[in-house]
Amino acid sequence: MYQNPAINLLSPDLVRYHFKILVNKLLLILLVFITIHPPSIAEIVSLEINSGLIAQADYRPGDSNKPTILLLHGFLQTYQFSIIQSISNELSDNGYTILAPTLTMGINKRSQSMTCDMIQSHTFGDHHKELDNWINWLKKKGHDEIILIGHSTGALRLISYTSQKNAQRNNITRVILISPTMPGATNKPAVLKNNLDTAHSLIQKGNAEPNKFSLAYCSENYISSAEAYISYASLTENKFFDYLKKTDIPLAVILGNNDKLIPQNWYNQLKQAGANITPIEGANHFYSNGNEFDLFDAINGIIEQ
Amino acid sequence: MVTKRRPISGNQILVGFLLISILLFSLIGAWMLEQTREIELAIETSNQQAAKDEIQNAVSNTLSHINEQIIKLKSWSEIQQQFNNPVFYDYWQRNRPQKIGIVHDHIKNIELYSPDGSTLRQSKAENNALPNRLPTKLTYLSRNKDKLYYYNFTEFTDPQANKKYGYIGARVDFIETFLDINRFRYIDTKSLKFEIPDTTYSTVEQLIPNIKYNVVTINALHDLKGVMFTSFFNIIAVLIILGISAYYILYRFFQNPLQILSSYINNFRRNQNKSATTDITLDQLVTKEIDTLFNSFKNYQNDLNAMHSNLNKKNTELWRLAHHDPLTSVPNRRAYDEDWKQMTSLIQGQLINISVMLFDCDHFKAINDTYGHATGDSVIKAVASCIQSCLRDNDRLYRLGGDEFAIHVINATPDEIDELAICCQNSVNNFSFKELGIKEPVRFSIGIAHASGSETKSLHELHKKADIAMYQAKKPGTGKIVHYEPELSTSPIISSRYLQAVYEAIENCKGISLHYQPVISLTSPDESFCEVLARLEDDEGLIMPSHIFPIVNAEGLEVEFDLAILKAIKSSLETGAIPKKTRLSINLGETSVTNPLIYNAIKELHPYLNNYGIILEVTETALITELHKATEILTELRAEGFLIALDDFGSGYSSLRYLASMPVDIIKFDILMVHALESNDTQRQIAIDVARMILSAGYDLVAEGIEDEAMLRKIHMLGFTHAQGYLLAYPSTEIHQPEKYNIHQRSNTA
Repeated sequence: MYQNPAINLLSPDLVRYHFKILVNKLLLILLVFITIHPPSIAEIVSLEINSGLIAQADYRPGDSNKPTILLLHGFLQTYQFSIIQSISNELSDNGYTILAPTLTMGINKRSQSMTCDMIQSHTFGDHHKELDNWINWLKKKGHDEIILIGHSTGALRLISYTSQKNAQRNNITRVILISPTMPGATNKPAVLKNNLDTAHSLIQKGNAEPNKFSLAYCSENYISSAEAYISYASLTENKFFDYLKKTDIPLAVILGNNDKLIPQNWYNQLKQAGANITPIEGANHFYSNGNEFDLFDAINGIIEQ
Repeated sequence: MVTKRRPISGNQILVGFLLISILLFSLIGAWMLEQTREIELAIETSNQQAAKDEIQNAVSNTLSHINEQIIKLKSWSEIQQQFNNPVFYDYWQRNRPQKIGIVHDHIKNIELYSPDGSTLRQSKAENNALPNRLPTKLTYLSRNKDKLYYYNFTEFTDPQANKKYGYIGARVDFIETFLDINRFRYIDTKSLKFEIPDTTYSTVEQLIPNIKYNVVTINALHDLKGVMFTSFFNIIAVLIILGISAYYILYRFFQNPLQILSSYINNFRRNQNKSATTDITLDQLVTKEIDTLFNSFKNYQNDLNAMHSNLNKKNTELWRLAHHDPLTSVPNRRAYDEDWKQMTSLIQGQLINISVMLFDCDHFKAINDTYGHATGDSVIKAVASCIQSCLRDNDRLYRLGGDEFAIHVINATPDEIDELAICCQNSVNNFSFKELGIKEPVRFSIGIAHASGSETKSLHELHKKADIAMYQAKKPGTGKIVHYEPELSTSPIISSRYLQAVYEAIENCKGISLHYQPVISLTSPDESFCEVLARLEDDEGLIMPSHIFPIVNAEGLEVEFDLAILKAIKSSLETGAIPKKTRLSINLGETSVTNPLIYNAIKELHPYLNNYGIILEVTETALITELHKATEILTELRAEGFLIALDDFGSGYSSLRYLASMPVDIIKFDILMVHALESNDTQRQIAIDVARMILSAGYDLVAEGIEDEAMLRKIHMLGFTHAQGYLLAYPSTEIHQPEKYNIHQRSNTA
C-alpha cells in the first residue's frame, strides 16, 4: 500500500511550523487592529430634506484643520456599502471628518440598499437637493472646506451636482471621482434605447404606472416610473463630459484598469476630456482583491496635493 | 416422639420451585401492571392539563409570532416609501407585498391606510381581503368559510419626528400560522379542530374554548405494557423451558443414576451373601461424579465381600475352635450346652424321647499321674474314637472336660440306648491300651438318663440325672452302665444338699465352718499345732468331709474349695478368732499346690506369720504329679516362713527318693501306717523302720488316728514327735492350748 512518508501531521517539526504561523497571524491581526482601526466616533445623523423626508448619514468628526470629506455611494446603495465604509474608515483614521449620506430615493430614513424591483419614483436630479442640504449642514457645523468623493454612479451624481451653479459650491475644494460611470453604461445601447422609447411613450400616453425596464445590472426588472427611468438612462458619456466641462473645482479621477462596469475606453476618453486620472493597476470596479490599499494611497495622495 | 420427615423427591422440589417462581412472577407482574395503570392515569391527567396549557401557549405564541411579523413589516422600507409617496400604491399593493418575500406567508394581505383611516389605494374598488377603511376594532378574528383570519391594524409612525403616517392593516391565516409555528407534544395535531361559529371575536382568548383536540395517546406506556406482557410471557416460557431442561438434567444426570445406584445398593444388601448382583453399565451413570461414587462403592463392596468371606472363614474357624475339643476334635462343653438348649427348645412339648449318656473314665487321674499327661491324652483320644465308632448317624459325642464324655440320643428306645452303651463299653474294653503303654485295664462308667419332650422339668434335669447315674456307676460293685432311677437322688454322695453347700461355700464363702484338731507335740507343748479341718454348715446342720470331698473331687473343685477355705482362714486371722501364737496346719488339695491362685492366696497369709505359725499340708501325690514345680513353690514358701507337712504318708507311693528331695518339715504318717504299727507282720517292722528313718533324717513325725492309749504309748516310744487323734482331741470349732491335753503326763505314764 502506498504511504506518503512526508505527511505526518503530528510530526514535531510540522506542529512547530504551524504554531509559528499561528503566532505570526495573531501578531499581524493585533497590529492591523491597532494601526488601521483606531478608535473613531461614528454617528448616525438625520437631516430633514426639503421634501419632508428624513435622510441619514454616517458622520465621523475629524481634525478641524483638515478638509471634510463628503463620501457618496453608488447605484441603489447606502453608506453601508463596503467600499464606502472602507474609504470612510481609512480617511477617518487619517483624521479627516467624514460625512457619508444615504440618498433617500423617496424613502424616509432609508437604511437598506434598494432592489431592482422596488418602485423607483425619484429622478436623478432629486439628489441635488439632498446634497445641498448635507453641504449646508456641514457648513453649519463649521466645515468650510469640503472635498466630495463619489464612487461609481455616486461620482456621476457629484459631478452632475458640481456642474450646476449654486451657492454651496463655494465651499467645495476638490472632487474625487472613483470609477465614475453611468447607470446605462453596461446596458446594450439597443435595449437602453428601446426602454427609453417605452418610457417616453408612456409619458406621452399619460400612463403614470411604473414599468419594468433594464438599467445597469437590473435586467428587465427595474421597476420605475417613466420619468425616473429617463432621468437615469439618458445619462450618457457625453453628458458626463458636459458635467466635467462645467465643473471648475479641482477634480481627480481614480480608475482601475480592470474595471468591467465602466464604458469601454473610458480611461482614454476621460484623459482626452482633460481629467486628472490616477489609474490603479489590476483594480476592478470595487477595488477588491487587495487593490483597496492602492485606492487609499491614491485618495490620500490626491487630497494631500 | 420425633418422627422422621418423609424425604422430598427432586421432581417435587423442581416442580415446586417452578410453580412458586411462576406464582411469584405473576404476582410481581400483576403488581407492576397495577402500578403502570396508576401511572398511566396520573400521566393522562397531567397530559390533559399540559395539553390545555399547550393550547393556551400555542395561541399566545401564535399571536406573538404575528405581532413580530407585523413589526418586521413596519420596518420594510417600501412601506415607508408608500406612505411618503403613494403615487404608485395601487401598483405596489398589487405586486410587491406578496412577491417581495418580506411579508411572511402567514400574512396573506396587507393594506396601508392614511391617518384619517382611508386606504392609500387610488382605485376605490372593494378589497375582499381588507376593508377600504380602517375598522373600529384594530384587532379581531373572523371566520371566512373554513379559514380563520386574524386582522391587525397597527399605527405607522415616526416617533422621532412625532409624525403619524397612517396604519398598516394585515390579514393573517390564524389556523395555518397556529399549526405551522407550534409544535405540540401533548396534543394530537391531526385531531386539532377549530369549532368556530361564523362570527367575529374581538380577542384571541375567546377562541380557546372552541379549539378541540385529543390528548396524545401515551404510546410509551402502551408500549411499556406491551413490552411487560411480552417479557412476562417470555420469562414464563423461559422458566418452563428452563424447568423442563433442569428436570431433564436432574433426571438424566442425577436422579436416574442415583436411582440405579440405589437399586444396585439395595440389591447388593438383599444379596450380600450371594455374589450375583445386577451390574451397572457406565452409560447409565452419565456423570463422572456418580460413576466415581459407583466405582468407590463397587470397590468398597469388593473389599466388603473379601472381608466378609475372610470373616466367615475366621468365624467358622473360631466357632469350630470354640465348639470343639482340640484334643479329640469332638464337640466340647460349649457345643454340648448350645446343642442341648436348641434341642430341648425343639422337642419341648412333643412326644419325643431324649436320652443323655455320660461317660467317665475310672481312675483316669491315676493313669495320668502314673503314665504322664501325654499318655493320658492318648487314652482320651482312643476312648473318643471308640465311642464314636458306635454312634449312629445323628448322634454326637461331646467331651465335657477331662475324661468325661456325653452323648445326646434322640428318639431311641431303652434297648437301643443299652445297645449303644454296651457297644461303647465294649469298644473301649476291646481297645488295646497296652499299645499306649498302659498295663492296667481302662474302664468307663456310663450314666444314662431318659426323658420325654413333654416332661419339661425332667428335660431340664436330664443331665443332672445322668450325672447321678454316672456317679452311681462309678461306685464299686455296681454295673458300669447305670440308668437313672429316682432313688439314686437320695444317695449322699450326690445329694443335692451337699452339692448346694459346696457350691455355696465356693461361690459365696458361706457355710464354711472351720474346725481345729490339735496335733499334740510329744516333746514340747510349743511344738503342738492345730490342723484346720473344713466342715460345711447349712440349715440342716453340719456336713462332714465324707460328704464334701467326694463332690469336690468329682466336680474337680479342689482349687476352688481350697481357695474358699484359705479365704475363711484369713478372715479368722483378721478377726482374731484364732488366738495368737497358734500354729495352724492347712490342707491343700492335690491340684492346689501348683495352682497360682492358691499360691497367691497363701502369700496373702504371709503377714500373719509374725503371730502365727502356718504349716501347709500337702499329699505326696500332689508333690509327685508336678514334682519340679511343686518343689520350687514349696521351697519359696518355706523360705518365707511357712512350714511344709507331708500328709497321709504311706497311703500312696511313699517314695523315699521323692521324700529326700522334697522341701518338707513334717511327715504325717497315714492312719494305715499307724495301724500297721500294731500288727505283728512285716508291715509293722517296715512302718517302725520308716518312722525311725524319718526321725533320724530330722523330720518331725506325726502319727494320725491315735484313738487309744496303747497306740499313744507306742508311738511315743517309737519317737514320734506329734500325735493326732480322737484320743487326744476331736475336731472342734474352738482352739485349746496344748497343755489342756496333758499329753506329756499321759505319754510319760504310758
